[in-house]
Amino acid sequence: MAKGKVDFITGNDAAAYAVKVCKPQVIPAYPITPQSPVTEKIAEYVADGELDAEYVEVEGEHSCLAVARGAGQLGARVFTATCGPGLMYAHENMQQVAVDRTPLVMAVPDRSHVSLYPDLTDITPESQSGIIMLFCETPQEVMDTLIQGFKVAEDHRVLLPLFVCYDGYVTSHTGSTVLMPDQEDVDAFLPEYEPYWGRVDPSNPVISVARSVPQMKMEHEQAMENAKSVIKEVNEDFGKAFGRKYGNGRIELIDFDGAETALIAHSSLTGTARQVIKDLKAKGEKIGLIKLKAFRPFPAEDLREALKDIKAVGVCERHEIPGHGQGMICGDLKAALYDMPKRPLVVDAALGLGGTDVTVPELTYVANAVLEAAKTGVVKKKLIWAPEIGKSREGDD
Amino acid sequence: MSLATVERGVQRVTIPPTAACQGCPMVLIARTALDTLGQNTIVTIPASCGGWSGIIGCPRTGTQFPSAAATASGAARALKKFGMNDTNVLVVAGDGGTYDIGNQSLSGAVERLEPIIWVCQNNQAYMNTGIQRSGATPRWAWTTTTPVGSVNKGKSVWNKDMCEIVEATGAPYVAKASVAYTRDFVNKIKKAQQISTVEKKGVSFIEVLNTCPTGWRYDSGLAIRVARLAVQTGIWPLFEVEEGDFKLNYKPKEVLPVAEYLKVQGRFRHLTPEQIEAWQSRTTKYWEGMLERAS
Repeated sequence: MAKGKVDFITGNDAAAYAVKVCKPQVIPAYPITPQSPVTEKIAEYVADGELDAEYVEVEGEHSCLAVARGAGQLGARVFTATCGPGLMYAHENMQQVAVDRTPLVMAVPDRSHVSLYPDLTDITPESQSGIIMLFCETPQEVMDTLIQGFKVAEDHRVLLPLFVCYDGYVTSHTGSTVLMPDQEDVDAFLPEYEPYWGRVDPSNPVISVARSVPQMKMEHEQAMENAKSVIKEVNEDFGKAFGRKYGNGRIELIDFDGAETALIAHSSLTGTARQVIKDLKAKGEKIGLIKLKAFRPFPAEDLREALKDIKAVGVCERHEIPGHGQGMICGDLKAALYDMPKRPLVVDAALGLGGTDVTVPELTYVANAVLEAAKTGVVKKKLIWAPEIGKSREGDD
Repeated sequence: MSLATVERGVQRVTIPPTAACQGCPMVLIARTALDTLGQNTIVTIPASCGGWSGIIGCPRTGTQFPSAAATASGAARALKKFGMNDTNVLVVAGDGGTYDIGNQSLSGAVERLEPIIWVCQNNQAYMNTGIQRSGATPRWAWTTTTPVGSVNKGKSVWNKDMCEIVEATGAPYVAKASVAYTRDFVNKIKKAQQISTVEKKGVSFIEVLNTCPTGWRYDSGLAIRVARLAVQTGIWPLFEVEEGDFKLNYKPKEVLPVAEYLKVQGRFRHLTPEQIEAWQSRTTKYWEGMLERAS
């Protein structure tokens, strides 16, 4: 079993360290809050000779993704990081990296479009682009998911860009004890990148055209389908090599024995939800927690299996689509449940929008709404807003 | 110097046929650049007439309209990591992908001294999408977005001077070339290869006037003649700037009046004598500036 020293570092520093041990060859970088410490730390590694990579200081995120695409097409292992408005600015090229099937790994400390703080608005446009997205709860998980990410993205059955998403500030800037994997253990786990088409060879030219045709779309769909099992495989392999893994790689069931109701949470909300579930279980409530580890491809099969005997489920997400009455995770969940002969009631909770704080009382309120729905067989309110919770708590006082 | 003489003994990297308009010199520009550089080249072509005009026999990266310089930078860095130091990185972009939407990423690549050979085939408008004005469209020219109406008569402002902008940004080699002077163009491509690919000094920027029969409204047999007129009237002087050293590559025996160049093109047919005079005085000043810098 792999060892490694223990350090106390932030999510961003964990991402940078993972990049160092994964040794990408080309790293285009452009700073943005709260991602900047990732690019700064990598610049330090390169400056100190600890990471032998081409570090390209681009003039914006749109170009950042174009550099990644150019280098990736020629067969280099590539990494970059961005978030919030930066990710939105890169949208055009981000989609093309996916269509080109360039296995790029990106750290995305999620940032809202209305503030500097975390919610999922930045990955919303990309959620339809055919990019793998994995959520992380802690700095340790950021580190481990990045290392797994290169192996998933570069797998010849997949060949897709992959986001390692974690909440800006809450995870990106908060220190935590992290097991730092040794270089030799990462080398044993993650082999050198072998491009599917081979490295560029001018005497044997390949032409890539920035146009999508139905066949490319079909192959892209197949690659996302393949990613479902590859994510699970790599998570298992990682568990064997490093002694820790994250559920089945796509979802993790937490305190789920005997559960008749459930909460689903993502990113740092999971940590708070763990406490809420523990407290309610102590009171005798039959509730469990599902951590959404993979957002894309959406773990529909795993959620159907986990929820087949559940009466009501609540979705805690830092997202809401105005006019749609729910967030994107809830919408995806409902679509996944639609074909089931017997399906749970669904309560959505739009929490932490624009990065507002989400604490135990908020998630307890959501859990109670779920328990009530299970008891009465009726969902009183399909979408719970955080401001409503605050108001009701004031009323309680 | 005929093109046939230049091409003898050169292995073709471009493969006919092309989808270019009849009489379009863009094909000559791309072919001359590619055949001079040879097979050991990675090509990036953003959205432009060049994107659709013919098949290229060396590796080509896909890129978006604003991103040619950044995609080529990524290619150059990957080549460096692979130790493929003698492989050229060539961009063939139009004026839109150079002057306008591609300007930001080009500026970044020039500043970072990326080893890229940039050939701008400047046809002075968005010809590929149907003759809309660009930052390279000259004053008073008709385009579909600067139409000649009862109030507005063509584009109201002058074009940018991209060579000056790129030189000021720090490119080690900047040049203007013409399809009517192929030997000069070939020499410039070879110099760019030496500076960018061999010496890794940064971006070499060569701008070629792509005289466009379709958009400029003239007979499709006249592309080379119009290109030659642009040089001989002083509108498009053949020069090069190598790390600050300016050289005028060609001095016409007699500088022709600008009207000779303007009158063959339908896009200028509405010009008044005063406007032609303004063209002449601007061009004379520009040409005298060239002579002064060369002396």
